[in-house]
Order: sequence, then structure tokens, then C-alpha cells
Amino acid sequence: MDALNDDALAGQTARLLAAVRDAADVVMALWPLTSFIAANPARVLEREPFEQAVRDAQRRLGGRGLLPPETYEAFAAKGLVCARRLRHAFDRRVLEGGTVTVAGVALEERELLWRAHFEAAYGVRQAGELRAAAAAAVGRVPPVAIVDDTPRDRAGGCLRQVDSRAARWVQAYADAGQATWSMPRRDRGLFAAWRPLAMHDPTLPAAVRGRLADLLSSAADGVPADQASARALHGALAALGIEEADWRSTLEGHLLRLPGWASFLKWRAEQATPGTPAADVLLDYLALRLLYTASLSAERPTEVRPATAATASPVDQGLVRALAVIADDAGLDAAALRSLPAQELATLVRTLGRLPQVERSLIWLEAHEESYRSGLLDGVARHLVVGADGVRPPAASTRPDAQLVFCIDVRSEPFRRNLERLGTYETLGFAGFFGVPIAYRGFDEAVTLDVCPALLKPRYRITEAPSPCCSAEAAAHADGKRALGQLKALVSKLKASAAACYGFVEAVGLGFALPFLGKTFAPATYGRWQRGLEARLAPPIEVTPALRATTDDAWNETGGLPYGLNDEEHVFFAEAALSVMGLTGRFARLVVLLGHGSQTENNPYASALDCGACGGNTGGPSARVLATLLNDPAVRAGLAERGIAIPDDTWFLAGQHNTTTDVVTLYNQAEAPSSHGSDLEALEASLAQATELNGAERRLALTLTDDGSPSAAAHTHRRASDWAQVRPEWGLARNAAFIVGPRWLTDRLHLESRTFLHSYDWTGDDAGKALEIILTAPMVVAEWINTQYYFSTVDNARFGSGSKVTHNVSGRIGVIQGNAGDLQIGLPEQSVMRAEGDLYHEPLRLMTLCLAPIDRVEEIIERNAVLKQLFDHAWVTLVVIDPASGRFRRYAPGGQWIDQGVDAGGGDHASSTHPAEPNDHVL
Amino acid sequence: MPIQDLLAVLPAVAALVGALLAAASAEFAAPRRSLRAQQVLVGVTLALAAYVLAGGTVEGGLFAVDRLAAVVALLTAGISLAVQSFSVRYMDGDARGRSFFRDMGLMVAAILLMVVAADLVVLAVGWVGASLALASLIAHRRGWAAARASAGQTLRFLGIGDVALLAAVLVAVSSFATTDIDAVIAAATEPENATVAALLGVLLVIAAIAKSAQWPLAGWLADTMTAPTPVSALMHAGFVNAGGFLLARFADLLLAQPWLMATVFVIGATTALLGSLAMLVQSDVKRALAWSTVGQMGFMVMQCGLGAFAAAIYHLVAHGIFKATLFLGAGSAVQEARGLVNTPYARASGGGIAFAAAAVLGLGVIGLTLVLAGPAWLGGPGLLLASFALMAAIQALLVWRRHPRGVRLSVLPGVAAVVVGLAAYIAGTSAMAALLGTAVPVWPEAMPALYWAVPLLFALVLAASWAPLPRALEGPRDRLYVRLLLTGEGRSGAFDRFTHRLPTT
Repeated sequence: MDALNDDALAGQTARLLAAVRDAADVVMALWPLTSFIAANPARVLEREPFEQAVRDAQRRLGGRGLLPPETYEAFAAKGLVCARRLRHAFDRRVLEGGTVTVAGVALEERELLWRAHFEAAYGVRQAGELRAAAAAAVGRVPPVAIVDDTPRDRAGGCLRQVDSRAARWVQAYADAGQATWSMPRRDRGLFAAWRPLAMHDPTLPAAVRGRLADLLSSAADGVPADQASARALHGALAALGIEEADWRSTLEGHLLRLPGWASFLKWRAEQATPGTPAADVLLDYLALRLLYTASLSAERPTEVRPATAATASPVDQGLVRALAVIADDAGLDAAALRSLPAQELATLVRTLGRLPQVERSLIWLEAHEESYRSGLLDGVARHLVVGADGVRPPAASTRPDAQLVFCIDVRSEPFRRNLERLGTYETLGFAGFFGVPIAYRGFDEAVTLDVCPALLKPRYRITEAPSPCCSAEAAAHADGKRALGQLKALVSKLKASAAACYGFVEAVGLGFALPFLGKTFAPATYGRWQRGLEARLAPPIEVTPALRATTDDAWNETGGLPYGLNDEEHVFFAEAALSVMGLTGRFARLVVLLGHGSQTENNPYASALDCGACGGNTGGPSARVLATLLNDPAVRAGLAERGIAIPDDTWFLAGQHNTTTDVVTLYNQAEAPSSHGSDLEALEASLAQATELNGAERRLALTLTDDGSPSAAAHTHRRASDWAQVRPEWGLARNAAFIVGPRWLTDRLHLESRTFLHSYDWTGDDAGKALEIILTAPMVVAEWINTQYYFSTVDNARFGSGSKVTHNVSGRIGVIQGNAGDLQIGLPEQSVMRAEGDLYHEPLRLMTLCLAPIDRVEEIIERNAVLKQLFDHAWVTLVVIDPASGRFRRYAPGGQWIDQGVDAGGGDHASSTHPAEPNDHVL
Repeated sequence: MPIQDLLAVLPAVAALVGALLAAASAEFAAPRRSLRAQQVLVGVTLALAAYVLAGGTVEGGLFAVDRLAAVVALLTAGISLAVQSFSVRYMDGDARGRSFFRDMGLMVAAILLMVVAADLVVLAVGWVGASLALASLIAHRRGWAAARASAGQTLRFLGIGDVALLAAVLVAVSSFATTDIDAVIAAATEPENATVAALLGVLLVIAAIAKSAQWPLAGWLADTMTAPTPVSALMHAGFVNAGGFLLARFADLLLAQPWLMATVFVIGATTALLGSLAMLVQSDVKRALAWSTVGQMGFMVMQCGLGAFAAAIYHLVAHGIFKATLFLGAGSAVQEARGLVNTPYARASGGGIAFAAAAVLGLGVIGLTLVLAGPAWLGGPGLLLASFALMAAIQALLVWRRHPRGVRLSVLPGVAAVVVGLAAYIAGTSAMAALLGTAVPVWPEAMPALYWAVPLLFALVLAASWAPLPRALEGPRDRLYVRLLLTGEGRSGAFDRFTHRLPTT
């Protein structure tokens, strides 16, 4: 090959790689289920305004972006949508129009639409005959063609065959330890491993195998191994006759055929060290797919390119119902409706059709959101004291008995509320990784976990050492734990051994009766017994993080993270945490930092219930790190230099809140000064009481399969250890708002476990640094969680993971449904629904409420493109309470601030007018 | 109907009542009522089995409970109750909960009917009924194309067995003018009826291999994961056992025809090898479990082929409890992986290979010596089966010693653990033999020496799992891997993208 040819080839390869990279935007990275990260599965749509995005979701991503109007009607029937808000939303979006004549009576168009689609629509009983006549009339008027360019199979099942093979190979490639006999040579990359195996596929017809061999061999001539997949992909695209201009859309189409696997491979590529085979796995995957496509469809050219195709949408049943409503109003029966002049009927249908399903859903969504939000904002306004000089904080109380810092997670709110009324306790909310971006390895654990938000990368590596109290027992603990692990490994290896499994089953099979019956009939007792046995074998010990940087172990093999923190970093992270949460004075004698984690059995989605701020892990370790820092005299001295004086009698404790059982465990109590013994005792008693109170509150929402336990604690414990339980707790379902401000802003409200609460004191943050961190990190994580729940609920089949009852864990990294198919993406049906079709989660976009000076907020938005995009595109709604005036101001897309009407219950802000925004009418 | 008949059929009736109750209840009440019926069912079965195993007799015309029936009925009822209790919580909120509990009840009723049948027609009704109920459960999510395809495929495979059994009924009626099982067996073992007996035997074996997912009718079992998890638990602990039960029920008929027994042995051994190899390459939990069941059922059928029916029934019970537990707990694979690093066990180094090679060699030498020179009884099935226990022990020691982060245990406790395991194995098998008494024939003392090829083959597999692979064998290894991974791919239409849930409106 001459140089010119080489250059041309290199240019072409570069363009192809760019097309692959661009196409990959269409999917969002999917983390393995061992550490579930809630993220927006439709992330690519955030580049557009929300409304445009959800109108496009079906076309772009093949999934619904909004609930159907009927589901909102069910919400309304439960009283979750306020009729007045519905009319507001309708009026804002539907302009007044002309008149339309029905049976000789002229009707105002807007009123007609309101009456037909909303006011009289839901709950009406209509004569079947009238419905049939209406359906016939609607059917006669050609619907507006919807442009559907989701990739479709136009080659008689060829793409289905490609999908089924691609899924099986990727499943084998991505396996993290399930199969005993894993895919040969997979460390060389997907393409390199697949290539020699593909030829042996007995299920491919000989002719197809021949074509595949041809395509592969033409790409193999003298091509270096790391370029083989690019060449092969290029060859396949050429064989399919796909022009360069269509590369990207073709590849997008292919990625969206199995969005789950594509998303997982994207994660894999992002995690890989550049230059290793895994970094190119998406390219490999696309090459594999296109090669199959080219080989399988040689006789029948396949079109995978998103070509615009007009397909008739199914008859809109809402439209039929609306027509029947109007006919009924006009006193027409079925026969009379049928005999209306064709022209008049067509006009009527077209008029009603001006509000298609998506637009009706958007009206409902807005009404639903505003119904929730106005309730929340009115509540906040009701308790807000505003004087001439602005918002007046309540008088500072005496020193509290204890301060407890919880994660911002929505599940903290009810526990905090229940605890606060048991004593003079102050609670705060802070991101559950406590601001320290670390990779953490527990004492004698094998795995190092990234315990920080997926937004960040860990910057330090920390391990644990036995606490001084327990150094003697440490060896016994470690040995016991190793022996237990070894025993488990023994059982799993024996049952997965081709030669040993028979003798094994005959020797111990009957013994499985114990877990089989125990876990089924007495899960709580069995769980207690099992944990007791484990504690006997490996007696639990207290541990402390080893924070000091050591020189001899400064860099290790995994990821090259430095070990430990140096002295300046100690003070830096301590100060950052305290100032962002606004805890810089008035320290109580006890300050408790609480991470959180869940406790469930037999649950592939267990990590989805753990701490999102800790990368889907438990938050206890992060709490330990910060508490250790803050008890260090050197750190306290450093803090004092920077103006944060921690009294000598203040002691920091770490602990963990079990969100399934509501039990709070406090670590290393023995290390607290003896002078704090009685404080600790009182706190423990209150925590135990709060466990019962919050358990009782949560029980009301968990009425399904309630076992009738006498106490709330027994009920939650049973749920936590029950292997048959598909809804051990509700997780972050129903989340809807993110509140940034001091606790007194909300402490008299029952927020129903729906709000993320982040502590913030605007008076100590003139430069806005703390607020900037809060809005760009925890709030963004909350938005990821919010959109994850939103999309998992509105289209559970496409963006969620379907029903748990047919889940099949694959490769220890995810689940598939049934025998084969796509890796499932979001949350299971059981996590967002009480029963199929009965939604527990209400999919509302996040509202951020923030008590801070408007100009400070404005500057922060200006500085951060991520915030501008979220607020301008209305994926998050921002409401700011200006401390200077006490006014509630809402950020309108584009950057204006408008007054948010709130009802303070007869106070100054009694006007409940709705914000009017220009230019977003649909008509 | 004589009182004995009534007594024997009581468990099946209780299950049927449960199914009907579920079908007739409101959606929310169905699970609880169905569970009540199951509790009654277990009570009745327990009483009945205790009575029979203590020496009582329940023998009617159409139904009877002998010791074999008592053991299998007890297993079925017990598993069924636990699975139902599990399902009450697990299936909560499912749109077709009522149908689920109805079909589960029907399946259990059909299996129990088959178990207590004293008559071929009754047996066939239960046999076919169980197939239909299972297919309905596999297609539980009616709107899911893959589920319908899986159910269809299951019916096609099981249909072969069902037709064979119905044909056997016809052959029995036309030749012996009776459908009483004991009478049919007695007639078939008369020397002058050899041809009919051979035909009957072949038909019964076909029926058994379809139900127990034996080669070459094994493919359907791994494609049934569209069924909710509890169905799989009951299927693998109750349904697939039917093949082994049928062979044990007609043991005397089969024993009279050594070539048929040899066929059963070969089918079982082949399936055991294929099933456990296919299990190795599966990346998802449930399909790995399904292929494991195929292998285990193969082992059980192989035991039948050896004439070790008591051992087969013991295996069926032990495996049933084992597999039901693993299926119900199939969701825990991710949680188990959370604290683990996937470090492969060291393969190559000397110790392991030497150990495995010595084991293989030793096994071969011992087998050969015994066959050639030992007393006849030593060459018998008992020793062959014991060699599988020995392989489990070898694997256990290897795994324990080579665990990457394990504590070292001195040889003595390790050997002690292995001895305890072996003792449990021998005790279990002997206890089952004692429990079954004369309900199944006693073990034969001899078997063809060629049968030793089977444990030898398995020992090779064991050795191969620890030894490094020579380069020359990479090609065949790849071919075998692909065959195992893609077996049946695209055959059933069991694949689809995300139509697993109907949109709710």
C-alpha cells in the first residue's frame, strides 16, 4: 500500500471512529448492579427542553416519555391533582380559538376541548353504542401521521437474529464470574474473542457462515489486531451499501436495538484504561453486529438506517371518548351521531384532535406537579416569618443535646422528623459521602469500593484497621471471615462443577431443607440465627479508618490512587464539610454523622436502595472517615485557625442508618470520652424510639403483604430478611423536591419522605462557594435519581427493568428478562408500583427550593453550564426564597425570575395566581 | 368409590380444591385461600405417608399409596407448600396472580394424581395435565411473545412424551385388556409377551426422558425462564422428577429387558455429561440452574439404568430440595458478588495437576482391577456411584486448598469433612433403600464392565478443569464451547427485546 492510500485509510478510520463515538451518545452508561447508579436513561434528551424531549422520546429512543392521560386521571381520582391547577395548566397551554358547530349549536373551541378532554371526561359512563359510533367517526378521519424513525426491522427478521446472537455473545463477554467456563480469550477484547468462535456457530446456515468468513478475511489482510474491528465495521458498512453520511444514524439505530447491553458496554469502555481492548468495546460490538447484519441479509438488503416512515398511530381512545362526551352533551345518541353531516363530524373530530395524547399528558403533568409543589411551597410560606428586613430565622435555641447529620436521601426526612420531637436534637442534611472522595476497603475485605457519587472519581484510597479496643480479637475475626468466605466458595464451586455436582448433591442436598424452610416460613428468625452463627465464627470488631498518608505505600497497583490524606488535606476536607453544611458554630456535645444502607435478601436491586452519594454503596465508611478527622486534635487546631472553633467537649460519632429496618448503629462508642456516657445513653434511647415511630409511619405505605407483626420493628425486620419480599422498602420512590436551606425552613412540615434535604446557611456563604457545590453536585445527583424514577415509571418496559418475578441475574452484573435478551436498565416494576398499573411513585420532575440571595444563585447558574441546561430546559424547576424580601421567585427558562404565588394562609402572599409564561402554547 | 381409593386420592383432591378456590376468589384473596388449601394438603399427605411408611396399606382400584408414592408425594406436597408461601409475597401485585395460583394448584394436583395412580389411565391424566398446567405457567405473561414461544416449545417437547405414554396405555389395553398398573407389569413380564413388553418399555422410556429433560429431548428445560421464579422451583423439584418416578414405578418391566436398562443407562450418562458441561458456560443464573437440573436428572436416570432405583429416588429427593432452594434464591447472585473479587483459582501449578492426575489414574486402576480380579459385588453399581462421591471429595479438597484467600486447614480436618460427607451420602442412600423397602427392586450385584467408562470420562473432565490446556486442544475446546453456548439458539423464538411487559393503560 502506498502512502496516499494509507492516509486515506487513516482518515476514513478516524471518521468512522468519530461516528461510533457520536452514536454512543444515544445511550447512557449503565453501572453493574453490584453498585447501582441511578441516572437518567434518556440522558441524551437533556440537551433539549423537557417538553420537546418527551414528545420525541418515542421517535428517538423507542420509549414513552410521558404517562398516558388515563394514568393521570387515576391520580386525579385519588386526589393527587387539583382541579384548579388542571384548569390553570390547560388555560396556559390552550389558546382561545374559534367556534365549532355541533348539531346546530355553536360552541367555543377552547371550552369544547376542556369539556371533552378534561372536565367531563374521566369517570363518565358512556353507552357502548355511542362509543362505537364515535370510534367509527374518529376512524374515518385520517389521523395526523406520526413520523416514527425508530430503527425497525425491514428484513424479515434478520435484525432479530442479529439481536439474539449479539445478546448471547455480549452476555458471555460481560460475565463477571457467573459462568464456570468463561468465553475463551475475552481479555483480548470482544471482537478478538468473538472472531474465532463465530465461525463455529452451529446455528448459522452454511451460506451465512461463508459470507461472514469472507467479510472477516477481507478485513484481516495485514491489519494490526487493534484495528481489526474498525476495518471489519467499515467493510460491513460498505457491504450493506451504507453511505458515510448515514454512518452515525445507522450505528445509533444498532445501539438502540439492545439499549441495555449498549449502555453497559459504554460503562465498560468508560472504566477501561485507554489503549486496552476494553476501551474499544463499543466499536467491537458494532462491528460484530454489522458483520452479522451484512452476512444474514446478503440476499435481502437490510435497512437499519432511521428512515422516516409515517405510520398510522393506533386510534386514540381518549379522542373517541371526547367525541362521545360532546355528542352526549348535545343530546345525540348513536344513531344521531352517525347521521351528522360528514363535513361537520370531520371538523369536530379534527378540533378535538388538536389536543393529541402527548399534549394532554403534558397538561396533566404540569397540573400534577403544580398540585404537589403548591402544597409544599404554601407549607413553607406558612411558617416563614418575614419582617421588614427580610426573612427572620427563629431565635437560636440553647445548645442542643446532640446534632445528627443525615444523608440528603429522601428517606432521612421522616426519620429526622420523628427523632426531632424526642428531645432537643438538631438534624442536618448533607451528601452521604460526607465530601470525601475516596475508594475504601474495609478491614480484611477483598474489594475496594468507590464510595463517592458517580459524578466524581475517587481521589484517595483508605483502608480500615481494628480499633484499639479490638486489636486482640482482630486476628480471630479475620480468620473467621476468611473461613466463612472459603466455605461459601466451596459450596458454590462444588455445585458448579461438572464432575463433583452429583456426589455433592447426594451428600448435602437434604441439608438444604434448613434454609429452604427457614427462609420461607420464619425469615426473621432464620436471619437472626444465621447472623448469630456468623458472628460466632467471626466475632464482630470495631474498626477505624487509617487516614495517614504513608510514603512507602503511596501508590498502589489499582488505579494508582494515593493512599491516605496528608495533614493539609485533613483540615481541608474537615473544613469543606462543615462549611458546606453550615455547621460552623454552636456545636453540641455529641455530633453524629450517619451514613445509610439498606438490608434486603435475595434482591438483585439491593444496591439501588443504598446510598446514591456513595456510588450505590453503604455510607458508613464515609461517616467514619469524617468523624475520625473531626476528633483529631490537630485537625481541630487547623480548623480553629480558619475560624471554626470546635469546643473541647464536642465529640463526633459515626454511624449508619439502616433504611429498611430504621435501626441506627453507632460505631466506636467505647472511644467516646467517659464524660459523654449519659449523653450517649439518652441518644441511643431516642434513636430506638425513633426506629419504632418511623417504622410505624412507613408501615402505612407498606400495607401489601403485611404479616401482622405486633410491633413496627418486627414488621420491618421481617421484611428485611425475607427472601420472598419484592418490596422490602420503598427506596426513593415518590421523590419530588430538593430543598436547600436550614432545617427550620421545613421542620414543622410533614414532607412524606419525598424531599431531599440539604442543609445550607446563606449567611455564612457570601462568595456562594458552598451553594455552588450543593447545586452542582448533590442537586445533580438528585436529578439523576429523580429522572431514573421518572422514566422507570412512565415506561417500565423500555426504561425500567420490568417485573422482578421473571428476572434472571446475568453475569453478576445485571438482569435479563426470562431466557435471553437485553440487559435491563432502570428500576423494577415492584420498586415503583404497588401492583401492575397501580403506580406508587408519582413521576414528577424535581423542584429545587433554595433559601439564598437571588443574585448569588444567578451568578452560580451563569458560571455552570450544567445548571443552565437543567433549569433552562426545565428538567429541574428552581424556586428561590430571597432572604432579603421573603419573596418566592421561580426561575423561568431563559433566565427571568417570576413571582411564585404562594398561599401563606392569609399572610402577605395570599395571591395564588399562577405564573404566566409566554410563548409555550401548543395551539 | 371404595374408602381406600378415596384416601389415596385425597392429596390430589386437596390440591385441586386449592386451585379451584384460587380461581374462584377475588384477586387479592386468591393467594391466601390457595395457601390454606396447601396447608391442608401437606397435613393430609403427611398423615398418609406416615401411615404407609409405618407399614399400613392404602390400596384401592384406581389409586394406591405404596412406599414409593408416599415418599414422592411427601416431597411434592412439601415443596409445593413452601413455594406457595413464598409466592404469596413474591407474586404480590402481579396482574395475573389468580391464574398463577390456579395453575400452580392444578400442576400439583396433576403430579399427585400421577403419583398415587394405580391405573394407567389415571396416571396418564395426571401426566398430561401436569404438562398443560406447566405450559400455562411458562406463558404466565400472556402478552409476552417470548413467553408464548417458550410455552409452545415446551408443549412440543413434552408432547412427544405425552403421546408416548398415551400410546403405552393403548398398547396395554389392546394387549392385556387391563389398565391396572400391577396387572400390566405382571403380564408384561410373562415370557410370551416379550414383544409387547419391549414396545411398552420403549414408550415408557420415551415418556420419561421427555418429562425429565433427557437427551435428546433435553432442550426445552433451559428455555422456560419466562415462568415466574416460584414456577421454576416447583418445576425442578416436582415436575421433572416424574420421569424418574415413572421408571421406578415400572422397574420390574424394565429389569426384565436388560437392553432397555442399558439404553436407559446410556441416555442418563450422556445427559449427565452434556447437562453439566452446558451448565458451565451459562452466564445467567437460571439457565445454569436449568442445565444443572438436566445433568442431575441424567444422573438419576443413569441410576435407574443401573437398577439402583432406591438410589435414584434418594437423588431425586435430595436434588429437589437443593434445586428448589437455589431457584427461590436465584436473586441473590448480585449480593453475593458484592464483596467478592473474581480471582480465578490457580490452574497450572504442579500440585493440582499431579493430584488430579493421580486421582484419575487411581480411579482407573482401581476400577479396572476390581472389574478384572475383584469379587463380583465390588464391580457393581454401588461402587460406580461411590466413585462420583469420591470425585466430589477430590474437588472439595482441591477447592479448599487452592482458595486464593483461604485459611489453610491441616489435612486431618479436611479428610474428616470428606469422610463425613461420604458417610452422609451412604447413610442417605441406605436410609432411602430401607424406607422404600420392597416398593422398588433391590440393587443388582453386577453391571457391564464397560460402564466404568462413564466415571472415567467424568474424572477426565475434573482433571481438565484444573490442568492447563495444551495449545493443540484450543480448537476443539472452542468448538465445544460454542456448541454448548448456542445450543438451541433461535430455535424457540424465546428471544425478544423488551416486550416483556404489556403497556399498562
